[in-house]
Amino acid sequence: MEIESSLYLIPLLPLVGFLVNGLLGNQLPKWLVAVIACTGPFIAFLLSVQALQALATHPEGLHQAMFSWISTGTLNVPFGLQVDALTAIMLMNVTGIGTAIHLYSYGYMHADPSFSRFMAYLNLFLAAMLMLVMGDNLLLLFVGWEGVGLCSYLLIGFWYQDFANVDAGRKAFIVNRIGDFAFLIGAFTLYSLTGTLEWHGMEQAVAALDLNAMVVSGPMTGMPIMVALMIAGLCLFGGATGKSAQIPLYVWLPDAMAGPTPVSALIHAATMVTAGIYLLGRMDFLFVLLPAVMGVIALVAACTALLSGLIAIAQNDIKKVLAYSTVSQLGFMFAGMATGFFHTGLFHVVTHAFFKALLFLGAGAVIVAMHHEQDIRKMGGLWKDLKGVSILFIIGSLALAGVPPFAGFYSKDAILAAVYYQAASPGASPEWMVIFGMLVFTAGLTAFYTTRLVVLTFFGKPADEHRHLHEVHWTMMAVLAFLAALSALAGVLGLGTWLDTFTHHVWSPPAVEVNEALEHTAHYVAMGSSTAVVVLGIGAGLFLYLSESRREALDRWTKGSGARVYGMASHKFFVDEFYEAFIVNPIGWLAKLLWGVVDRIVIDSGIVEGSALSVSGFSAALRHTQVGAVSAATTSTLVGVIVVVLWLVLHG
Amino acid sequence: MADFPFLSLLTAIPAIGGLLLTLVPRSDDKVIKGAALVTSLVAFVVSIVMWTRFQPVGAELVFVEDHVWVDQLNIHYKLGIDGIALAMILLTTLLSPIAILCSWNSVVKQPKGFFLSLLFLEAGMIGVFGASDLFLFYVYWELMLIPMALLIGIWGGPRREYAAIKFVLYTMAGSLLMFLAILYCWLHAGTFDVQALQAFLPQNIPFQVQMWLFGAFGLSFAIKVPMFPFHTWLPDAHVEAPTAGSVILAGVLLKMGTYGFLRFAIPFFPTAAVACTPIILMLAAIGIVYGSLMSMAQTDMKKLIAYSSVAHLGFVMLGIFSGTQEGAQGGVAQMINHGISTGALFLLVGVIYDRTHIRGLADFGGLAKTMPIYATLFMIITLSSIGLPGLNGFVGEFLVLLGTFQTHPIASIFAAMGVVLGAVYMLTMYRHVFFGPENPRWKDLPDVSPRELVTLLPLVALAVLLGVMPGPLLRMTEAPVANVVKSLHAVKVVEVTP
Amino acid sequence: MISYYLLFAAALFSIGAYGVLARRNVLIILMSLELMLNGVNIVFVALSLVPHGVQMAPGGHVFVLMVMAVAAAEVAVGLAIVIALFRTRQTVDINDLQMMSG
Repeated sequence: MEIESSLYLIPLLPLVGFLVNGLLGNQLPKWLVAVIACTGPFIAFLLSVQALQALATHPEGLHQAMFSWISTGTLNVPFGLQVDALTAIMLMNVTGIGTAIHLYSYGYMHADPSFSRFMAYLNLFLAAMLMLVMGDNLLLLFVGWEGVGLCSYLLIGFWYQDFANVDAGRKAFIVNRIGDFAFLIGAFTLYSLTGTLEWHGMEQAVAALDLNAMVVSGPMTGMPIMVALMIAGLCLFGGATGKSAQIPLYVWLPDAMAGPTPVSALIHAATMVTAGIYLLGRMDFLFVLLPAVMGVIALVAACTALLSGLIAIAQNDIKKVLAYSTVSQLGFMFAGMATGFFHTGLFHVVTHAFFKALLFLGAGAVIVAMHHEQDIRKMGGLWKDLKGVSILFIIGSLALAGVPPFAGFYSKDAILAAVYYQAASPGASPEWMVIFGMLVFTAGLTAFYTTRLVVLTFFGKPADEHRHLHEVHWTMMAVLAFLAALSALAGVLGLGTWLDTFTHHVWSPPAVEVNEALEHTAHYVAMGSSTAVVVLGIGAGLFLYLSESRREALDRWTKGSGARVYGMASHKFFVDEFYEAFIVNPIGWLAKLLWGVVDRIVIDSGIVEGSALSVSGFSAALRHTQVGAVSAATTSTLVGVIVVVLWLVLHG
Repeated sequence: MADFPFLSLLTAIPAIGGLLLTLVPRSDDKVIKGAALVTSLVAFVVSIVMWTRFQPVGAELVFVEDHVWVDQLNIHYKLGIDGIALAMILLTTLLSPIAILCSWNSVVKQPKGFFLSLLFLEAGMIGVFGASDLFLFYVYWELMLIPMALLIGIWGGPRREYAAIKFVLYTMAGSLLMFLAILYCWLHAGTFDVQALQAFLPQNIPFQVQMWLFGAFGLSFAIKVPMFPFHTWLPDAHVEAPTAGSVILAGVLLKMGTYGFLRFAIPFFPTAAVACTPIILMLAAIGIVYGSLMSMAQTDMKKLIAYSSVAHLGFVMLGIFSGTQEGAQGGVAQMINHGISTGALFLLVGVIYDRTHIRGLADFGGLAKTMPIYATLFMIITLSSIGLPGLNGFVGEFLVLLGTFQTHPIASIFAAMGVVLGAVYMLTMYRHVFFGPENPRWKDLPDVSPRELVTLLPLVALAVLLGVMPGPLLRMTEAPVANVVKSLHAVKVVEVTP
Repeated sequence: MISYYLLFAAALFSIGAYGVLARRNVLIILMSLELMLNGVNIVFVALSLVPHGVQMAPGGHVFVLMVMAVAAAEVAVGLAIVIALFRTRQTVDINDLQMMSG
């Protein structure tokens, strides 16, 4: 089978799974639902592997044109799919981990009465995500982009009988829509500069632009092309901050943990949230031209990483800790992309998918075992009862913390090295050094809160000595083991170097000059500093949380003299409250005010009914002339006729 | 077959069907409903046949029938359609049987009159879209008002008379001005023929007069659309109208305003249209945001959807006046899409209103559990309404915003906020009605019946189909839309040279 | 010669008009209306005696026939209304019918 002509099967198969399970799932036995749901992604995975192999002989990429989707005027948006090295990596990620998590979901969710609905949504999500990474133009990406947002909304609010879940889902959708608003503006700007939305056409058109000239036609006539490109770049990044949870739109992701745990693993850690990073990688030809925008992205990313790292320290819900950690790691990825060494960000996308999926699924196993308890203060000592899960979870934690030789170490290191390389390059803007510092500090924070999480969950005294742990389904353990192997070995086996060479030809060359000596220095500085802070972080974590007495002392501090500092972090720096008070509520008030005053009083009662009342007032005065007697009417008619006739006779 | 009088036949079928209904004894409920349904289905089939024979060259009118009606005044009975009109007629003939079927059990008071009104309404609507003589157009335009006013005023809710009178007066205020403008055009051009007027008026009417005439036509159409700030009749009319009335009102009647702009106001007075573009774009963009904010403040489902129509029609106006092919085609696509998704939304609200006689957001909760099929359909239509890519609403909105951005970026950006707000109010409505703990009061509500499913499924299918493959619709309307856009641009060139 | 006819017609018309204005019984008003119509009819017929150009103009006759037809229809409808009126209100007195008073 020629893979290029069957690319359409990759997103179609999960979609078929969605349709079958969505329409008939209620009538089918659960095992069959699971088989249907897992088969689609698995075959898609096999096809993705084939596509990846085919890239060896087709370095320019595979492309399948299907039909013209929207065509009018000068706009022509085709419906076509493409696979190049970047997409191939994302495909492996999405379908591989996707299949594993489908399998896990059977173990996790099979007792739920809406199991088939759950599997259908997961399938739909995969289809949308595959559309996102395979679309050959910006608009098809947007189809997937909104599609995954929809699935996220549906899955966060999966247990819809609780308003808290539903509201979290709605928040995710609406916050993402704000990002999409920016995304659309960016797309329009780019379209008016390049006249196309296809990746290839856009790349060529952008390359052909004279960056020192002015825009000569379209809505931005007279504006320097550089400025127009910057607007486009910033707006597209604005879209990415929504989907990939960066400042200022990251607030939905922690709330998204209201969804079932496999969802958190698949959508809110491994795949969907990396869509923004994919977008940056896809639009590399644009971003390499815009060092200032890249600087902004790196700064936003570093701030996000730091802020959410700080919040993660003070969270007690096992999933919330992981959620903030995800936001923080996404910051790392964006920082990596922003250096122009795009493979570093992509590398972290892949390794993060491994270990964060592992951690979430491990957390899911813990939660199941603890009968749906998520507070880590009520766990403790799980090591004794859940040896298997503990070992796998700790492997994931080591990878997250960035301990060599686990996968996270390699990818985080690559990003830090790239940032340092930027900062130390001659003529670099000084902000890069600050960014480097923030990221190194965040790496230490990561090690610290990960240690805290592990210690509180698995070690120390059990909060309840008489608990009866629920059994963990074998499919869940199998998936955990698979992901743990990847998290442990991916770096050692040279995934990073392979990614670099494999994707090298798809990236536009970075703006900075290549300097081998500096590259080596950067590598050593990054490795040295990150190892040091990781050791410090883990050490501090063990020191503070392993000993019972120090933990109690810490508890006292957080309730006493440290309450103010600790409260800031545990209340997430009051960002949600700020948005609530300054954006959400005022809009609601404005709506009520406009409706109550402008619509009902000014327009309706004032203008509309006012004009009606003036007419009826006038006619009320007139109606007194109508006495209603027929003789009166006829007499006045006759008098009128006589007057007219006389007038005609006398003046005619 | 090109000469076959499809359009006369299409207007005649519901009219004759309606007249035959008067012969059926009042007590034969089943016969009345059945006859009405069959009539509208026949009209639908005929319109489909007409569609298969529709092969225009460019933007020319096809299926033209031209007979002298009043010789002395040069009034003709002239019909003829282009792609836009065909799309609107197809929408009309599709929604009419659906409207009849959805009122199957809910109309107890004088069903004969009700179905008679619906059929006459259909005849009037097809006439409006098919007319190619200004006088004939006006006759149909006014004719259609009567059955709609009756539907609201007799079969409506508690404040039906207020709503009906408001609807009639609002519309009449605009159309009287339009009638004066039509007479003025006739006095100067000596003809009511739309094509002749299109050729005559732009060249021979001075700019000042054009502005007055465009204002008169424009006001009449703007009220029908309805554009902010002429929209306050709409929420009242929708809330009071029976489900079938709301479906037709939202699905077809509102589009007559935008259709009027495309077919008459812009081609007749392009210079004035260009001069008024900034203010119309401003009102459209305000309408989008304002309508969305209004929807956010509502607690009644029908009122919420009614205000969302103000926002959606704002997109249509924005696109039509963007002066770009993309925007204008997006506007036309949005006309059809809004007819489908908002029509379906009113049907869906009708489903639970029939069962509970309540429409408040806060009165429900947890319906996703009790009525899963209903919840699924409602979700798909909700998503179509907020413009999720892959469903129909997105294509229109995207094209409108993209097109407008090319000429008026600020208006486009402002309007794009409506996309965010749209998600807010629609999802909020969905949350209140379908999610949350099950309300014990409604735990025995039956899910959608087969009859209701038959009314809903075509619209849901179309929502998906037009989202994935908008090609046929866009191609159908491409040439006539290009004509309208061209007439706007022809003016710009003239303006620049002197 | 022609003026006699016209005087007769005017007298007939005036008597009818007086009846319409002065009587209260709806039936009599209807009959008076007929008188007025017939007055007009006589004018039409009489004036067709006057040469119009070279030939006689019989156009007036056509109108007379038309008026007679209309009058017949009018009486039919009018009487029906009067009967309906009498059935519902037990009166045919015009002064009792003042529903349209403003």
